[in-house]
Amino acid sequence: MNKALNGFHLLSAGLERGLRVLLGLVLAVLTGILFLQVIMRFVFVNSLTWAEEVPRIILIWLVFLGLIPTVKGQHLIIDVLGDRPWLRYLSTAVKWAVLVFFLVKGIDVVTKVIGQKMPVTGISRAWQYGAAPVGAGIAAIVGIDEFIGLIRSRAKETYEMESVLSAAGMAGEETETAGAG
Amino acid sequence: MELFLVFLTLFGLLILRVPIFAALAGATIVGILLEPRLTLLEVVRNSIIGIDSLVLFAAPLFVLAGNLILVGGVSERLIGWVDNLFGFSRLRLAYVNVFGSMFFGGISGSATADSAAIGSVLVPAMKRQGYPTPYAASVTAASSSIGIIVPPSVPMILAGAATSVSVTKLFVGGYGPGLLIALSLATVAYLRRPKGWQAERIRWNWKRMGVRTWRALPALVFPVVIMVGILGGVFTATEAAAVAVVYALLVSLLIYRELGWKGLIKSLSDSAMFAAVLFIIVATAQAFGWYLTYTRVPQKLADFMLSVSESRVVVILLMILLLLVVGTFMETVPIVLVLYPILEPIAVQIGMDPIHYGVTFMAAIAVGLLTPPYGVLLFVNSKIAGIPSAQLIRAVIPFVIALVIDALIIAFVPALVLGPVELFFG
Repeated sequence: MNKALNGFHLLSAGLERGLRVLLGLVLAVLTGILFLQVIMRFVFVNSLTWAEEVPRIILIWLVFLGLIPTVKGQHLIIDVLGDRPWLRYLSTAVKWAVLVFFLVKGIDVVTKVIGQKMPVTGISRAWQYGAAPVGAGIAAIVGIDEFIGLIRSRAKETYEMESVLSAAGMAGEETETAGAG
Repeated sequence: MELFLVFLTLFGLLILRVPIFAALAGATIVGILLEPRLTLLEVVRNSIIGIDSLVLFAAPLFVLAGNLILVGGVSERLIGWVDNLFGFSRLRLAYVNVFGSMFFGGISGSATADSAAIGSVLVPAMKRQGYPTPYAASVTAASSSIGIIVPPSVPMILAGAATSVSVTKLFVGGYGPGLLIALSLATVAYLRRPKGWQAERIRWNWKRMGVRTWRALPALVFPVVIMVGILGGVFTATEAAAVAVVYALLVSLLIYRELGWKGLIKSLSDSAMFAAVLFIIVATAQAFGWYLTYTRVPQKLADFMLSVSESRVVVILLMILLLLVVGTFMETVPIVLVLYPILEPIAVQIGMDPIHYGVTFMAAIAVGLLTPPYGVLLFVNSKIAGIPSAQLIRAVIPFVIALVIDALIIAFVPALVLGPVELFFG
């Protein structure tokens, strides 16, 4: 049992690390598309017709797949009460329930819009809405690891400061040196 | 009654440290369960619609561009340049702090990043020159709030996603107020200068100025690239952000050469995570906003405010008061996402220009970055300076008063915002 749980932890940690890099690369590709669009418009006076709808779909996937590496306490919270163990259980449970909600109702939405197409590229709207159940679903599974961690009280940094700083897009090293000063 | 339960759920979950995105989703779910005509599907559907917008991309891209260009010694170079400009004054590091923040705000678009970049270099330097630590930290904290007024600004981009307001016009409207705030904070820094304390001046030297300008040039040109692109109507805010990223990448790779592959990948994934964490809140806030609109909350609030007084002045004062109060305990992101669209129709009803309303809104919530119990800049700067936040809070009070006065000036002198907007887009 312990072995299986540890294996699950390693798997989810690996998935998180991999997705961080992957989504970073997605952002790079997007910058490329948008930059290309500017070049095409000015140099060739010829807009890329797909360069509007495709990035919009990618953004939605970026956000919902982004739930997976951030699910374990990376999200912004409002810190009035301070960190207490029983609150961690409660807030993690609510977060997890919301993820499951997005999985279940997301599947419903996808089945409803599957016949609708986007106006320019003709891509099915299911590609847009599909991001919600896929991202939230996998995040809910990874989130189970957070519960296990809470129960086994795996060493875990307090997160509100970090999430605030990482939300500003600051590099981790910078905060550490800053904190030491 | 239903509304009371919905807001009770929202604030209850937020106080219980539930992530903001989940609290907004939870409150929306409760609202829909209490309203038999609505289905739960709407939560997911409206969340997706909320982030189905290209404008949003501008936010992580500006943050990415800022991260790329601020890698390594660029902060020091930029600060060195501003330092030279203020060499005539004994208090020059305080002024460098204020006006340096304006430049950084013109690069990164986030007040916390602003504090980290400026504070980690300048607070130690100010301590070395003998400034009291709370003074140094309070100047840094207060001046970082300019980051959300001077373009590019992440909250302005969010406002553009939550309503149909033009982000580029909001950006242009932010320049005047940004300058006003910088001048007023520099004045407070002068008035509150440590007593009986002396530091050396540095004599003006053309050669040194030339060298420093040359070394800081790529970073100095950066806000100009953004400004020209937006003012010229050449690109949208998102395209300007993409151009900024490419520019920052070229500068970091070819000129400063301090960025390795590892740094690049890290900057990319940090910015992607920033987008993920921020936009999931945008998504569920959109669902919540949709529910509020369905139950006619904006209209009810407007009726209430207008029933208190028909007077334009009173309504504007009420709005600013509301934002100041909410700003003490809420994060800027949910304030913009929830309140911006609700208050906009009220502002328009009393005859405010939407751009003027937008910039006034930003100036009012900038104060909230510095007011306890929840003031992000207080946390960040007490951590950077290594002092308890109670000390910082005491030192920052005069600056907060100045920021409130600035917000009132911005609210009642529309020309400050609209002058430049009309000049370029009129």
